[in-house]
Amino acid sequence: MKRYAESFFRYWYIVLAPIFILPIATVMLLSRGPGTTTVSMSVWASPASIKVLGTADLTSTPAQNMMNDFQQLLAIKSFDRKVALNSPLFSKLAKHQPDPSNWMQSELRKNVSFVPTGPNLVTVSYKAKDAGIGSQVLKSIAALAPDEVGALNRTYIPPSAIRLADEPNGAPSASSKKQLVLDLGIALLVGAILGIGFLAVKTALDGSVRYSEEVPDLLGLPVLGIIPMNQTLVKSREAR
Amino acid sequence: MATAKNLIEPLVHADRTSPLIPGLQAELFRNIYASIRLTPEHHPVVGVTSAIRGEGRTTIACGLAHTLSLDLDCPITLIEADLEEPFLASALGIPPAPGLADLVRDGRQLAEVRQHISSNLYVVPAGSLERDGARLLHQMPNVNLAAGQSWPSSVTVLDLPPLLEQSYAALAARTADILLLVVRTGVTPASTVREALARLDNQTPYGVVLNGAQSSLPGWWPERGV
Repeated sequence: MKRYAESFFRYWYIVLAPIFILPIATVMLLSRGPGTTTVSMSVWASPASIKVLGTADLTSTPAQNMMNDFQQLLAIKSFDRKVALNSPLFSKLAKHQPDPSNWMQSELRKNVSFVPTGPNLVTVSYKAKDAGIGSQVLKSIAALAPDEVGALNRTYIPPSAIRLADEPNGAPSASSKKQLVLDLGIALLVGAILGIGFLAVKTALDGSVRYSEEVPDLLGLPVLGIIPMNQTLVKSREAR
Repeated sequence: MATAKNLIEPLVHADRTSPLIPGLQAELFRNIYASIRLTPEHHPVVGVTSAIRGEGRTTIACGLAHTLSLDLDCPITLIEADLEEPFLASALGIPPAPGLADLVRDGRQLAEVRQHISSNLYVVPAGSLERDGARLLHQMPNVNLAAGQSWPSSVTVLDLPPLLEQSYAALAARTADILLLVVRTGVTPASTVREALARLDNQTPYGVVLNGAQSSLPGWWPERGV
């Protein structure tokens, strides 16, 4: 016990280093780079309720038409602004950008993707840093698209024709914070295990004679004297 | 240049040079002396050895010799028996020869080769070596260090070579009546010390002197001592 305690006080910096470094590394890793979470939802389009106007491609499935319309919608800045207004977390991020309007558009075009997964079903995905932001953005798109798509003057999808087949699968923002706390906790725990493990192994492998009370057991001889580490002696030795 | 005074004085009078441990050092060397119960009338030879080099063997031998010279009225002779790597003469600023090598090789008397350091402290350096250190160590047990001494009492402190680093070190250690084993704390593995002890055959050291002891435990720790 005394050996382990002394090892701790001697090598405390090595024990504490991983406890500090691992959580910091975790935070840095989590905050690095765009889009670490992909949130997706399915949107269903009723073929019966789609009103065909003008140049709509009649050979395409409702899902393909809807996908094309959604992509055109995201190219319209006013639509992107409305999406942002309906997504408080996304708006908050946009406010910190030098050009919020352009940022919103490029962010949505870059990270929102549509994949037709059936004749009437489109999977909409959003690659976001935060699952909560992704969830809000997708819900906004689903809520705004039926009314806005009419402005494209190509097809008209009444609100009743589009509905969420399922809720966005991303965790809300609060859970994301919980995840961060959990990750930090795990990093702390792993750091503590590494630090204490290093200490335990180093101490267990130390076969040197350290204390007078262990000399009789280790060597079978009594201790006649103990000369402490003395700076005077060290200096004298260095001088030689 | 280092002199006998500035080499040995700090070992014994740490209180004059190190405010960290006032008066501690001399008292610790006295503890060793008190533990081995010397009888100067019998001209005892105290051998100081260690398992490996760098454990503070010579430091302990110097400190013990000087403490004895302060506390006893009889002559104290410090002999450097590490014939492979001698340094005492250069450290003390005394002539390297004559010394132990001359005593063993030429059969000279102790009185002829010792050099006066202070009132009752004498030093015998390794002497003039002719690459025959191992042979001389082998012959050491045949030398009677007390021969030719005119003093009614005396103490000889023998700074022996490390047991595991010179083949005849264990043989040379037989010259000593009382053998002290220096162990540097936190450095020398117990297995290495046991291996050194096994080299001594039937000779058992009187005890162990722990050198370089230091505790990293805080002051409030209940078992802080080394």
